[in-house]
Amino acid sequence: MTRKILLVDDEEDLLMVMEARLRKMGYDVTVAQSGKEAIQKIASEPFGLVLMDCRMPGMSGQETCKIIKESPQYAKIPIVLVTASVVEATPEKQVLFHFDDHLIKPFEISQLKTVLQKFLE
Amino acid sequence: MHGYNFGIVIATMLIPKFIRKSYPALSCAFVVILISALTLTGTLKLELAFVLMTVTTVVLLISVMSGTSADIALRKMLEEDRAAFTSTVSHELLTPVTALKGAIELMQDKVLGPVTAEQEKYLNMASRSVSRLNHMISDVLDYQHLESGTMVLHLKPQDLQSVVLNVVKDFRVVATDKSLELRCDVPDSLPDVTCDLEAITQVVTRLVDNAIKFTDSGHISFSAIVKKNGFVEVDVKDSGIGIPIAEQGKLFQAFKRVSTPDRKKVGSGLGLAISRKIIERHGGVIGVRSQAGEGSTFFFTLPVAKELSA
Repeated sequence: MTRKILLVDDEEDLLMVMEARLRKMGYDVTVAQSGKEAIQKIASEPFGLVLMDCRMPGMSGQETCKIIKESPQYAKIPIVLVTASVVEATPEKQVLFHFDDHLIKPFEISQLKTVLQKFLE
Repeated sequence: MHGYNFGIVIATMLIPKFIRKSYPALSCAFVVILISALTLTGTLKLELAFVLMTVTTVVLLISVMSGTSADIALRKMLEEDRAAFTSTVSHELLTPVTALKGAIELMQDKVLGPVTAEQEKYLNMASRSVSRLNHMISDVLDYQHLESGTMVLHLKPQDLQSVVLNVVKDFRVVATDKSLELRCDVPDSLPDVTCDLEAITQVVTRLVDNAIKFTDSGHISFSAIVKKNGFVEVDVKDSGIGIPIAEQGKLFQAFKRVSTPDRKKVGSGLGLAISRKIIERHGGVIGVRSQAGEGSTFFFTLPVAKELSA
């Protein structure tokens, strides 16, 4: 299984911080700043996990997630929704948009590690 | 005829304003006076005046009992606006907080290179401030969710003793650091209560956190009894500074602070207001028995879970 992670967020600051943290943990990280860019990146290289921000201009994280999960060749890539709102992460929404897990911003490093272990180890 | 024209002018000038300002009773009273005046000046026939009076009275009764539909719509719109506002503001605040927290942690964990002892001191200070900011934002969010009814409770039978024991375990170190005795005297025999585990854990956590903050020596203890009305009462008793009776009314209201001797001890000002909302959503009550210098006992009640017949 690849340890490659796709990090999707429209906030450059958050990408910078997360990228540094994940690289330090030994993961290979690619970043995308929009849902559209995320879909292009997924089509061009294999990923073991996608960390997807929820509120993005253009296509939202949920919409992007649904599109990826509905295309048979990429449906198996686990997608973790990263959101500041508990309301966005209810079990009903998880089923609706097909994401595999969620992280509530701002999350603890231990929570991030749990998610990484769950999908990448 | 003069009286009639004058009446119309006054009516168009005043009634819409009254309605807008949601004083339906006043505007109806105005209409009653207007009809009486028109009848007296002979502009209006007695029968017609009687019909108009009846209609006005009915309108008055309906609006007094339920508020006019315009009022309700306006109030609903304001509430929706406020909910959307809070959610947007919180999101906009949480995004930079997440970046800040991440950046500080990267430096604290020396991922970006060595850190001197002096720098570490300031990084720790920044980290504490960010976590305080984060707590405040989540308190505002929680309060908004409870206020607007968007917080969904998952009600299940729960064992309060284990809820309390778990929270007590989390505070063991903090209590020991202050040389406080932290004890759980909730009996094994206590029946299960119907509640949302996460929400009640939050209430218990806030009560212990407060008790520890305002107690410098002595003890904090939990006890619980079953009351005659089918509710369990949980008491959190401390030997702290106590709360003057005059200040107790403010305790459970949002953003109202009780004057504390130590400014450092204040939180978001929402903790007990959130707790009150959570307990009230469960049908219980929350309160305090205290006097200045005598310690405090905070209590809350929750309904005993109904036994399921097999």
